[in-house]
Amino acid sequence: MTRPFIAARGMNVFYGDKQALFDIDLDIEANKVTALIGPSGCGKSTFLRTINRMNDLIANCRFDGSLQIGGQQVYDTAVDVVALRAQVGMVFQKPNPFPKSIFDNVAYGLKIHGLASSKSELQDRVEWSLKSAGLWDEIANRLDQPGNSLSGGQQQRLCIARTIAVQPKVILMDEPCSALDPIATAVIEDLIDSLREDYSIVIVTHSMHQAARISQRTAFFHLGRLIEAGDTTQMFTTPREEQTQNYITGRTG
Amino acid sequence: MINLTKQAGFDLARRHRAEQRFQWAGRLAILTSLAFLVFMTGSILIDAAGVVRRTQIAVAVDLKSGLVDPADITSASFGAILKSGLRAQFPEVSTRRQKKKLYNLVSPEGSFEIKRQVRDDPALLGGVQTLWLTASDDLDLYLRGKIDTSLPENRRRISNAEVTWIEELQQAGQIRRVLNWGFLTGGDSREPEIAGILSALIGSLFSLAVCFSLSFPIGIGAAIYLEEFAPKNRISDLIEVNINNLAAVPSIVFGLLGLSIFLGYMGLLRSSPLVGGMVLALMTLPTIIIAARASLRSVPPSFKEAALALGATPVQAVFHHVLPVAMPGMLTGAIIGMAQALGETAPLLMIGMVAFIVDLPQSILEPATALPVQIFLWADSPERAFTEKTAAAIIVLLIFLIAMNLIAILLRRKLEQRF
Amino acid sequence: MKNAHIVARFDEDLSKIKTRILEMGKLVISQIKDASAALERLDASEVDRLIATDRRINGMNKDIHNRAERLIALRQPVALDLRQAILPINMAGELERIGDHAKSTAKLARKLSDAGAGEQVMRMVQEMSVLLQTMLAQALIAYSHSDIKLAAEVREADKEVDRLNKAVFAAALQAIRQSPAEAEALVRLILLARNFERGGDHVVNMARHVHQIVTGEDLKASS
Repeated sequence: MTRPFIAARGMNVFYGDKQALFDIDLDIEANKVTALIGPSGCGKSTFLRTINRMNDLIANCRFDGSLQIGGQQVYDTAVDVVALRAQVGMVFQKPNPFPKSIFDNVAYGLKIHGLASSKSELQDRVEWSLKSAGLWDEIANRLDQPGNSLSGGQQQRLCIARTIAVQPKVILMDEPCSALDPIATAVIEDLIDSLREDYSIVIVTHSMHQAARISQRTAFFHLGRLIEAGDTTQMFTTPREEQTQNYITGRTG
Repeated sequence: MINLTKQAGFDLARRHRAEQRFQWAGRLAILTSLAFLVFMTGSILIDAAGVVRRTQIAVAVDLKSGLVDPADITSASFGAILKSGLRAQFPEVSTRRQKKKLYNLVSPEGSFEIKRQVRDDPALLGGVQTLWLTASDDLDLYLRGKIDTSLPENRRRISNAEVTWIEELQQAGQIRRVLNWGFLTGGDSREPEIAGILSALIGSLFSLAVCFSLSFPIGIGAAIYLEEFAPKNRISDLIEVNINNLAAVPSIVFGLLGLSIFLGYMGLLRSSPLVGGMVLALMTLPTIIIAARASLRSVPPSFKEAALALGATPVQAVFHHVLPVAMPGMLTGAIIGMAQALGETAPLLMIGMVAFIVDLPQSILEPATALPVQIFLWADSPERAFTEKTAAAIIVLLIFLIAMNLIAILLRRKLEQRF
Repeated sequence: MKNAHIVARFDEDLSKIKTRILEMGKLVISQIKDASAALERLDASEVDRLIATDRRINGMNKDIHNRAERLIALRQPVALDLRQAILPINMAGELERIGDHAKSTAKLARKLSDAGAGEQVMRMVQEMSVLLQTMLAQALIAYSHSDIKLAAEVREADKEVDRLNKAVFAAALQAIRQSPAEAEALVRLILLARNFERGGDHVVNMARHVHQIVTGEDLKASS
């Protein structure tokens, strides 16, 4: 087994008095797609947002325990969240391109982090990102058009391109296909599979079948607890826990 | 069988009647308010109609070089020259009282008008010239039939003798009515026939410029900090409540504040657009902050989230993504605040912008007045002709307001079209 | 009901497949029974009816296949549900093959005129038939109740069938030596015993499927 890239140990997260995650131990391996599944409010999104500390934006959100990325504590006073988020990218549920041109959307991260030293380098990296996101062929001749003129699926791929432009180590995805039709979903799923070679991907999904299709590892959350985590094949054929079985087969239990 | 008609039941008849009642009530309300609006604008327009033209009298004046020194035109006594010109036209006038009435046909400004014409064209010197001079307000009113000649002579502004002179002048073609550009290009005056709005307009513009350049950056800055960065706790709640309350504070209170702080404590210039603008800025700040915060709040949080997730700092996220989207709304709010300030009289009265300003102010440090104050002053004047001036000034103010709102709409359209 | 699916129709479809397998199994058992009885009495009159019933069994196999296919296509079951949808296809296949053996058993009644020297062999074959019926019935109960212990017993019982098969072979060989004239009938009985032995293997496979449905573990792959 490969060494885990992200490791949570005894992780608790609170929103005010309400505890959202209870004592989570979870390993996320590098260059794999890890799917987080579970019913609404089970804490899977909370777990995802803990990884790049987006929960910091929520007042009175408290973290307790240990969460390491590549051996470094994420919740440490020495950690700069800007540096963290530059290396742990995120794609959201609803495609949210900036109200700017396609080019500017992808170039934004490069610009703020000063990752391109010249205009031509900027253009090259934007092109590379759009190609990696499988969007280049569709929009190469209209880079100056607004990002939200694209279709939903294209917008989501633009958001993925924007994220990979800064070349993070990890990409977090929060139900990236929930607003898309099945064809656009399939395109994104294929893209996620190809991105796996270069990035570690953690994806929250409501669709168990999507988790089964695209992930190598699956973690099942229920009521703030991690019920079961394992290889996706095993989780979807012979889950160890009855709760998992009930959830993935759609039973009330 | 399925019944899809009105007879299907479901209490349809009563529900449709209620629907109709409400719609008619709404239409009636709109009609009523429209009627009031038409009445108001109509009466103002009718009142202001008299300002469009002014009456002029042609007077033959003797500008022999002996009376006027070409090297020093200003020192000549044009008043005397005018009077002698009038006397020459009506030699039969002899008594002091009658003479005075004769002189009053021409506006007191008449002698200055001769001076200006001579200065602009020195060739006029050296002979008898027939010059067009502004007639007095009474003459103007008489010509437009605003003076009831059926009243006894001692109860009206124009005596029988004056009426005869006017008729004589009319027959000689020495009275004409011309477009009154002076209203738009001149300053205030004690004489309604030559009083103009420009000095007040410029005063208003200067005040608004000061007001905008102070309240916009301060207001936007405060709004951004409060909305995007300030920790949400009791103190920020308290500040929010207070800002909302400040927006409802009567403007005269801000005037008092300006009087005691800007004039009393800081000792700034009285009556100046600088202080006026500062007071108006105080007054518009709450409006701008509230509008700007509402505008910021309406920006989808997803933009900020996306920027933060990419590793932008909070300030970068706000300035690169939230602000551009919120800008049209902020500008609209600011312009509405400015429009409010434009119509404000009370705080300006408190800081002395009620001065009688004839000359056009050249900078924000010179004493000035403002449009609404000018309207107030004219409405307060006893001369009959000032009623028309008041109405005309109101129209200028309204046009100014409409123009500002138009700018607000155009700006919003233009900024919103960017993606 | 505990562990009910949120979509009630899904549970209904699954249980209908189960019912069909049980019905098919019952029919196959009675088919074996009737065929064995016809053979014992050397009564050819029943054979046509048995062949007709076998066609019905084949039809049931097809029906179960179609139902399972439709369920998988429309509901995309996973884990236990998926196994409950897929394995009945195999089980129906096994049942269909046991049915075929019953049919050929019945056909033999036409060909044998008199047991004669093979009487003892015939008795042993009948014993195999009864054992097979019991095993099949137990396998169906195990399937119906998801009882993996019973399924394991069924697999164990097959050893007895294998033993009987070997005994039939030895006894028939002995009889051929004693009365070579009856060799043909005795060879046919040997083949018949092999039929039942095969039938036992099919029942064992069914018991394995039951185990796999319940645990997800494929016994054939692991052993």
